[in-house]
Amino acid sequence: MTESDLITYAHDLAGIEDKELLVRLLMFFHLAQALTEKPIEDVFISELPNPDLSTQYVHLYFFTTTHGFEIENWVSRDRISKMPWNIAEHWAFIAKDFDFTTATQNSRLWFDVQFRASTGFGYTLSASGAHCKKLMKIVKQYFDKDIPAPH
Amino acid sequence: MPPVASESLDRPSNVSEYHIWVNSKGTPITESVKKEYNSSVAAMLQQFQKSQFWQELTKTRLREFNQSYQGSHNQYHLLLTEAAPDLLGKSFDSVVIKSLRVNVLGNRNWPDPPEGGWRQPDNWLELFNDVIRTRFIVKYFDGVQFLMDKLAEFANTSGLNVTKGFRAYDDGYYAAHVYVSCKFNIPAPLNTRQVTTQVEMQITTQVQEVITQLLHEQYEGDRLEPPQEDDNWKWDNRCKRFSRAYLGHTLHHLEGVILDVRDRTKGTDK
Repeated sequence: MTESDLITYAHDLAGIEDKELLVRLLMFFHLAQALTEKPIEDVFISELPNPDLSTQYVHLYFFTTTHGFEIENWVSRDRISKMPWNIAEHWAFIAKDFDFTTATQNSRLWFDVQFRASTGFGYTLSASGAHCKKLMKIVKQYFDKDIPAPH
Repeated sequence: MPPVASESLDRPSNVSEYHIWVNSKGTPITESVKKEYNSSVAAMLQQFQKSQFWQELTKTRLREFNQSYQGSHNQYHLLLTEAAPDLLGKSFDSVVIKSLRVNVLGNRNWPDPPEGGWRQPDNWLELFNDVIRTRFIVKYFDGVQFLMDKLAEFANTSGLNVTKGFRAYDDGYYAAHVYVSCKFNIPAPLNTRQVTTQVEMQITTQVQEVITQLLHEQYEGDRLEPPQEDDNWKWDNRCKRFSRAYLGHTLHHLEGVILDVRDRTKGTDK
């Protein structure tokens, strides 16, 4: 994944226009990359629509072929955690106006994955609109190969 | 592992037992709960920081309050600094401890719920009024009421519900608290969810702040003790609570005397 891929995703799918946030995103991208010898291959920004239609950004995730990086509440916090994603044990979805393949503007998707019980940790990813399909791709790629690929 | 005595399960007396008790009530405090709480607090901090009330208060109003006090108090300064104080979010550990205090240690209705109901993760944000807080430091004793009134007046004119009052506790804590009700959008699975809760603005003097900082750790430890019904500690000069409390009371008195001297010197004695 290149800086340009990241910015395109953040702008076009996650809807980030704020330059300061984009700079912060790049900073985390480089920090995560510095913490692994493998290339960062994907990203996901958890987002939720506010009643006034603005967007609230929650957690940020980067993925390599073996690990996930999570920056909880990345807009204001700086803590990066790293976890091998193949220890995911259990997941749950909540979907609204989304059939897991075709997204509309009203689509919402929430995905919660728990790692081995002994860790007590998990990831929470949420998306709206077309971004839901990106979330499905992430789920298929890293957490459940069995689910059908989104169209 | 030895069985846990039913007595301790019935009424937890520390954080570990509290976790077991909370589990038994079907509302376990898990890593997911922690994550959700932390996300909510981060969102609330961000939103309050950006709110018109906070922006106007810290960018223009504090300076005006300072000038107003100077004008009526012989050019003495109201504030230690006109810079915006830090906004703080209650940590997860602190909110768990607070729920232990309210649900158990200080619950006079035990084993029934405390007044207002059990404090559980899904209502912490609404029922605790200090999840988001800040502290203003004034230089003199009379600045506490001055700033409390100014903050409350400004909150009122900003259209926020506000409550205010002095705090003077047995343990030597002296401050004024102003609470403003605010609406926040916090993360929920599919959309954000709106909660209305209070933001706590503490006002204390420079001297009390120094003592608070020095004794903070001890104070937090004491708050995990069941409330003492008797006054024995007031006669035990070797106990920590005695030292802290009477240091607080003594300084409060001294600050009153200092103010008296200040105003006599400047001829503003009433």
